[in-house]
Amino acid sequence: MPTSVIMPALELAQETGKVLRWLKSPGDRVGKGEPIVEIETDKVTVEIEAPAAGVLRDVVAGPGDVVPVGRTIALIYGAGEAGAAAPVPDDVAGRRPGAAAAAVEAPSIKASPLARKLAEQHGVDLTQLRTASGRIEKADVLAHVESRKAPAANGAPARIAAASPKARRLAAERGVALSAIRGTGPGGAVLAADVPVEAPRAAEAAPTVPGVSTVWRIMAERMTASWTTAPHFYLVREVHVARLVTWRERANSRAGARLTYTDLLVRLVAAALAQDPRVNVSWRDGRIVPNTEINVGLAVAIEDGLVVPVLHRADTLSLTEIAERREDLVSRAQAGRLRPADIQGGGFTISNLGMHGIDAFSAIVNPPQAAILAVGRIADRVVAVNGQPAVQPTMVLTLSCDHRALDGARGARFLGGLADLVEEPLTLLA
Amino acid sequence: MAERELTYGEAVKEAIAEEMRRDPRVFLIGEDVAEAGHPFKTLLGLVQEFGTERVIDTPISEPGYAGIGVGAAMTGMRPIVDVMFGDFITLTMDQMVNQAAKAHYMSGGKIKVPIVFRTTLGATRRSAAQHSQSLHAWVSHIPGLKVALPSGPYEAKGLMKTAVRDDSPVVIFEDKMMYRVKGPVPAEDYTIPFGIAEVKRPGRDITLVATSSMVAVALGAATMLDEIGISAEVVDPRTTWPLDKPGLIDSVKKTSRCIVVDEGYERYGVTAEIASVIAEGAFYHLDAPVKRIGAMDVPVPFSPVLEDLTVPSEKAVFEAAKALCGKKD
Repeated sequence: MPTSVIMPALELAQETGKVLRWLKSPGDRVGKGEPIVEIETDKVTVEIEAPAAGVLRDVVAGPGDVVPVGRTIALIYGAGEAGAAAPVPDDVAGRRPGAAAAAVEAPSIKASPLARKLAEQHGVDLTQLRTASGRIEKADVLAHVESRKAPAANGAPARIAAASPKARRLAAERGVALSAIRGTGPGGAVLAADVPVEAPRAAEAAPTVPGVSTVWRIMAERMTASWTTAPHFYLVREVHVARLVTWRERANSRAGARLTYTDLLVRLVAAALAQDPRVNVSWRDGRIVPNTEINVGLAVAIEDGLVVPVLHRADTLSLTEIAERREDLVSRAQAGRLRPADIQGGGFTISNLGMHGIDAFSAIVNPPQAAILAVGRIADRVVAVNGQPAVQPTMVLTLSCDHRALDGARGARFLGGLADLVEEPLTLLA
Repeated sequence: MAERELTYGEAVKEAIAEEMRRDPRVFLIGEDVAEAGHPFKTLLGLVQEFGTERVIDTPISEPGYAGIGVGAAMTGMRPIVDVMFGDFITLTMDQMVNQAAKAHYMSGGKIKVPIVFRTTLGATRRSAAQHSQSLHAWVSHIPGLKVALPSGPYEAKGLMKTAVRDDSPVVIFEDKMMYRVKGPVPAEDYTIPFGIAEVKRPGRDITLVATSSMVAVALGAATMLDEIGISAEVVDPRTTWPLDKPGLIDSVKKTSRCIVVDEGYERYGVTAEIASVIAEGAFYHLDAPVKRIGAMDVPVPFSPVLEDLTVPSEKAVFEAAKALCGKKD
């Protein structure tokens, strides 16, 4: 049975993915693990690897097609399988990818739902079918598939993999190809327990950054969407960081520690979010949805733009763990080797431009998150202490909020709580 | 104080007596319901307390007295019509289906038919093919009728009292093999709402939806399954109409597997309806096909050996559950 190439789910809430371009053409021989198609979601672009070795056939989604997650977009025929060795018939080779999908949507074709489904699975262009009644049914599609495979000796039509409904749902949710699973149910049917918990193919697919333009374009689209739909407001607070600076110097003078201010801020922000969960929310479909975990994203500049890897459950991490993960994420971000899981699930973002000498700035909220913290540099500034001017290290924190998910008072309370933690960090950091 | 126990039959009688004391419009009519106290002896003593005006013996004419009951209900009484064997509802069908079930709707709500048809189901009493069927699917099919299937003494009293107080026609099927079964029954007044399934036993791996006589069978199978590490949840819908669809679906969403067990004929039966409700409602949570186990599709044989084979057994439910859960021997 040929192996399905499916549209993977790279993110929890992802419902569709877009085919950017095929790296292989129908009829090409592909090796297992070889990149065959580029898929784009609203967050990432990834290359999808061939789930099996064989001949790529029956490509039903062309560049630009948006396909539901879990849907088969092509088949790979293994050695010895019907269609593997056979010459590619003209109607397949000549058919442009996407032609079948487009035809399915054409309203003028009278075809039964089962016929449409089969046509989609087999990459049959329904417009090419002529029947006496003018209606296309299952038998017509199967007959066409048979005739197409005539050159092959025993061209059995591709059968739908046996699997329980629950297993199908879980496989789709986890982005696993059913055909890649060895089922333990009756007749080899795939059962729920057979579906791996992790999505191996989606996760293993090396997410390369194919071009400067893609990352940049995604950044541009997302920022435009945020700026034009999320009503922003900004809260600014100058905080005294003498204790923070002293603490970090001491910690780093001890062996091994290489803590950055960003690490410290991740820890403090996570604590502040735990104190004030109303800021750890997402704006989705007109509702304020609380985030179940405290996941702090870091805006990281890379050669071609901006990515936001996430420190998941940052409230449970020690400072050492935060530093290790941050180093790993930043280095992989810069190498273009972030995995989809690395950028998923962020609930709040920190953007720190202090190292570039910026005093203060206003960031754009990273949707669907409710707020983003813009961090300026630490500098000695003149402040009033007991009625006298004094010189102390301070830092300016600017909180950008989406007014649909937060109001001024909620934002101010959070920033106030965070400022207190930054100014008196010892209980948290010790 | 130990919980008071009654037999299933005593629970039925107590419910009827309490309702007759509570409401003078309630009366009982049927064959051998008065002096004989019913062939199953479930009504002994009622005629002594309430007299022959309220406990009425009739000639052997089910269509006749069913019609009397429907007419009495239309004109303000609350009759309990006794149909001795469930098999005899073939004779009362016009009164049940075309009169009782329809009058409220066809009169634009002006007429109510608060009637209770009390009858039986269940095989293995050696009563042969015309006295052993479980025909509750027939009336469950009819809009306008409610159908209750008490699975024990507690349910027998509570569902009967709900039925008497309901303004719609209700058909209650009592399992004739369960009349001597004892169980705790509160002495006080209580009712069991229609359309609420009861989880008789919580479980994790498979849901056994069981009705009436089959609840005990399912519980027995669940105990056997426990020993091989399969945790079965037993759910009793208690009424086939109204049917607690969300309750059943929720259970299967939790367990991913389901067997529906009912003593009616398997084909076109109660099991088919419930299985399709579950297949539709819990489809994306199912890890195995929904399995039906009903009575064998044959006229119930008189031979005891053969008769016993036609009824779902603990062993049959156990084996089916084991197979659905993928347990090999």
